[in-house]
Amino acid sequence: MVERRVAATVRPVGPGCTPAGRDGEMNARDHFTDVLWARAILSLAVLIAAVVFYFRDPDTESLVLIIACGVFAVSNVPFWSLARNGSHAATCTAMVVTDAALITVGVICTGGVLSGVAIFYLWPIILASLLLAPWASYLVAAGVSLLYGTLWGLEHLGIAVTPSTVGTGPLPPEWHAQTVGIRLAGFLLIGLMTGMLARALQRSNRRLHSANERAEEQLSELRVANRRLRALSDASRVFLRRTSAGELLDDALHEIADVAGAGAAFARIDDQYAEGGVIMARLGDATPAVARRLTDLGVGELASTDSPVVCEGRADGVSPPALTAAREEGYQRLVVARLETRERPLGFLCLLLGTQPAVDRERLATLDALSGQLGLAIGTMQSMEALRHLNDELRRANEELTHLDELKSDFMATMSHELRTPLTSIIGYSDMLLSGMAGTMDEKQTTFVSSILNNGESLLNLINDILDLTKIEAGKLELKREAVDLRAALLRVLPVIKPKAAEKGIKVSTFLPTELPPVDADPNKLNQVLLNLLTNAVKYTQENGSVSVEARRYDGQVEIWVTDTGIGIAREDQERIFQRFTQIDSSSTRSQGGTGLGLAITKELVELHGGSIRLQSRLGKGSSFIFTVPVWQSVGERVAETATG
Amino acid sequence: MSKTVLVADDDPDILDIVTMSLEASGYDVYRAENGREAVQLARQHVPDLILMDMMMPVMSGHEAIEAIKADPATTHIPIVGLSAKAMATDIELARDIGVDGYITKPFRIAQVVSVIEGYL
Repeated sequence: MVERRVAATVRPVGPGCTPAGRDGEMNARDHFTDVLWARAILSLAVLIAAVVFYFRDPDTESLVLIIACGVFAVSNVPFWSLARNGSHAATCTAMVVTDAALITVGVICTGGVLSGVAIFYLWPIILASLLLAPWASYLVAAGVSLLYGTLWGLEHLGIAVTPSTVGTGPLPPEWHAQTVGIRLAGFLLIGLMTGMLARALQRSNRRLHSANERAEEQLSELRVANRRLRALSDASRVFLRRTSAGELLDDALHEIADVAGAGAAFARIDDQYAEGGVIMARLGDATPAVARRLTDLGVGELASTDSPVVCEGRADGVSPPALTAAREEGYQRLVVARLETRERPLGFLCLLLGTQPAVDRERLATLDALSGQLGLAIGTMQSMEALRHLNDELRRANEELTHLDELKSDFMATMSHELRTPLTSIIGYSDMLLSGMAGTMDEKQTTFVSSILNNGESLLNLINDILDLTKIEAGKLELKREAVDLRAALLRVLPVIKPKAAEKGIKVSTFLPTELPPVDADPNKLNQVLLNLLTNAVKYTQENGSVSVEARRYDGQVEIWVTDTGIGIAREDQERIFQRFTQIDSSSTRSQGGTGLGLAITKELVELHGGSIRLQSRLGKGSSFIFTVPVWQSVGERVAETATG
Repeated sequence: MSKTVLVADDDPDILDIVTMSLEASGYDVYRAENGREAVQLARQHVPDLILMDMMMPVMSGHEAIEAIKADPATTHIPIVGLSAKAMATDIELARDIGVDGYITKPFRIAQVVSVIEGYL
């Protein structure tokens, strides 16, 4: 924004002047073309005359004249190209010198002894064109022609004899009149030509002069721009050192007031984090009361454009209320500038000026750039402050969450402890009753006490599962991973479920390929997963069914299938089977026991290992729970993989 | 002569259950209701094993275990923790102060008896 503003204020200087310059150039070129045409016609005329003379009386002088005319005509070509290249001053001088030289030669050749006299008449014309105004050469040419003609007339009539004027010379007497005529025509033509040349020269000079002036003007504009840039860069350095919007505003106000030569100033910006939502900066005699009064009187609204506005009253005497108020305080004029970012207005700054001269255009442009930059800097600072606040809030929220997490863990630990103590009595006493320590019980009593014991143990399992899940969710469960042989893991788990399976006549089989690699797992957690799936499989399989465990290597993982021929799970229930407290048929599950957390824990544990678990099942046909565990990689294999990966 | 076990627990029900179960299995049992009693009884009778609850009034299980382990006369007695504090950190903490085993509450009678048999 600042850059754009600077560019906008500097811009009018160049292009504004360019069209006038081009105009002058066009005129000069046209003028040269005229001169060259005149030269061409003149040379052609004299050439024809010289050729006629030569054929009538072939002599050396006519031949020299022909050659001079030829050179005269040919010299048009370099002048033409010089004029096209724009070096008019040089062309003019060269042309005048060449023409004078050629004409002198021509006159000498045609006029013989009289030539000296002719030259006497010729040079005043040339000098007049070079030294006086262009029209002077026309006048001198006319005057010279008149004098020459008069003298010749006087001599011809025999009234006066001035031997130096005409003389007889080598020409036959009947040529006298013609010679005089040619000479007169020559004088006039030369006068015309040199006059035109002088005009061209003068225009060229004028153009040069104006170009020079323009260059000076541009130089001074550049100087202004340079000064502005220096002020800006000084200000940026000051701005960059500041870390709060308040400090920045104070510093910037000083800088800006310095530029304008204002002894008093104030600025006001909105800031959501400042006290009262506003930051004020004041300088010099601008007391809080003055600043508040002017603000209330709408001084901020005076800055109706992007650029700073100088407010010094209108010709009709009607002043904005803020200016009237400032006058009452002893100030003469106000300079008000908006402060804004690209996206939003921030506020304004107001300079209070006394009797010092008005703020010039240059200073105003610097003020404009500085206030633009200040707006940007404050905008950036406010964004940063907002980020900082957001960051603080996030940190606080995070701390709160961590605290809540700790509270939750504490609560879970306490709950576990508080539930375990009464459960100890329930399980302990029912255990004692069942073991006959308090005497024998009848069948009904045994059934009741067994139910108390079983439900007590279910409750204990639930407590354990909840604790497990809480720990996993809090990320507090650390896996102690090692190379685990799946076959060995199954050997530890199968004995736990075999009695129950045998009770129901369920056949449990395992199919593990001999080359199965060890898996990368925490052995206890892998046991928990296997036990959970196998317990479920046995639990939900009817009598005389079968349960199998299969494994195969698949894509860097070992895929383990736990399949049963049990009741199966309907498609619509398969989605939520891994959710907490989900048991598909609650009536049947009551009798099956279980906490409803087993599969949720199993899924969490598998995923904690970097594996996945899924289900294939058809209602009434049995289920397969398929989970994966990464294959164990030795340190060497890992290094190789990292190197290639 | 039958083996002696010192059981310390502030919950009279649990104290009863453990006492009765162990007596049924043929052990002689000394009962303590807090850590201080446990330390006194341990010094007085030097039992073959101590089953110690961790959270008790007057003197906690931790302090009692530290006192017993610090006393040359009783330092050799194996101590099994018996606690409702079942978090892994609780068990580690107990190990650090020198318990030889740890049973979490609630427990089955057979489990307690088999653990004790392992030490005697």
